[in-house]
Amino acid sequence: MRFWMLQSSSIGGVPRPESQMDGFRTAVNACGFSDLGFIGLPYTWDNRQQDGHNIKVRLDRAFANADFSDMFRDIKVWHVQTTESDHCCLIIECCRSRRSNRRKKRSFRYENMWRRDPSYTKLVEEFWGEGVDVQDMCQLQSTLGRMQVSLQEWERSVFGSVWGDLARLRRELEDVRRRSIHAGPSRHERQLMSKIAELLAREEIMEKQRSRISWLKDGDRNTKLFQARAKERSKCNHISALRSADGVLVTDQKDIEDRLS
Amino acid sequence: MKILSLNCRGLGQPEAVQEVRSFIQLHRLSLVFLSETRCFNDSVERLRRELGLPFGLGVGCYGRGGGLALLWTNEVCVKLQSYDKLHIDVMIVDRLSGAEMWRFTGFYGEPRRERRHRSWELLHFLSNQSSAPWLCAGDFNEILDATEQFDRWCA
Repeated sequence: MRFWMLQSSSIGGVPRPESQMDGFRTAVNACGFSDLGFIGLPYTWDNRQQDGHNIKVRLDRAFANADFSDMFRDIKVWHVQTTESDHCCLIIECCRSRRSNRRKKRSFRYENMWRRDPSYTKLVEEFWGEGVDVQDMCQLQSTLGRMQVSLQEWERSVFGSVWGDLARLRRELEDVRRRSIHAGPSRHERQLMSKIAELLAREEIMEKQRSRISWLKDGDRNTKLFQARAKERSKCNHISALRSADGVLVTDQKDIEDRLS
Repeated sequence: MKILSLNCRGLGQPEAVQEVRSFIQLHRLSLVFLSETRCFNDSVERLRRELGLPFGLGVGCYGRGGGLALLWTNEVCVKLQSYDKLHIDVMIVDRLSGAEMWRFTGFYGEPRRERRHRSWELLHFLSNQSSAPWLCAGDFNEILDATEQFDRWCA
């Protein structure tokens, strides 16, 4: 229960006295904090009451001291809209450098939750099941490569759509809420919220179904292979030296490329 | 590195847990701080399982409100410094050397106005505990400036 809210609304929602904020300001100064600001709507809590009784307040925030801001040169705080809580959530992104503006292509990453979907085994078997004959490293490499592409497409079709829809609906919700900062929730907002709640409930059921599948023992072998490959790629795809068939050590990048192609 | 802070107003409903899970998946979060979990004990076993995060610690609630949880992935290495029903203070350490890198405090401001001063005393106390680079986030239940409140008086 938010007692201050009840109290302030009982006296007509008048602005809170300065003295109430003073304790907070003094503590923030003592900690050497700077407010990290935010991207999004200017409040983090909405009492969801109609018109005259509606109050929205910025109750949630992120602070950092000077050493932290020096350590992470690029810090962003987002107010991301929620539907289950009357608070929005803060997402704080901290990067060591400002290079992050360049949108990096999302690298391949094996997800444990994939195994929970029944169609995952089918896909793996297509590449590694009986009848698939891998003769040498070259074939292994190309099979892994093809499988990575298939997995990425499969992930988008199985998991991607729900998360994507959710992200889109939340942005829509933010637009609708932006238009009613000084009023209570509109009908449109309520409709959007119930749409999001429906998606969340659906995903919950799907999640339960996935986790009911018990796992084949030999599935583990494939898992390890994947993780090894994912790890390898994330490190560095770099060959610094190569000894050729005639025993010569080649260190020049250009020569290495020529010999490999 | 992405961190989430949310006053979730109870995690009893499956949809509420699902919403947090969707943020973890969509934004690839490394550290998640939740307040008002309304979980009665300190165990975060169920939360860890349902949210798909391997590590976590919790503070159970005493009354109807309250309850805190901090959960994280294996991308970060976390060392607990202190906690109570208003905060969880941890140090992020280097996995290999164990050296302290920076500090995170998940904060939940005292909701009752007449006890609000306890929040500020706690912040003063925490500021004296370490001089490490420090990030502090949460629901402070108070504003710094009158412009941070929107109601019919400021329309």
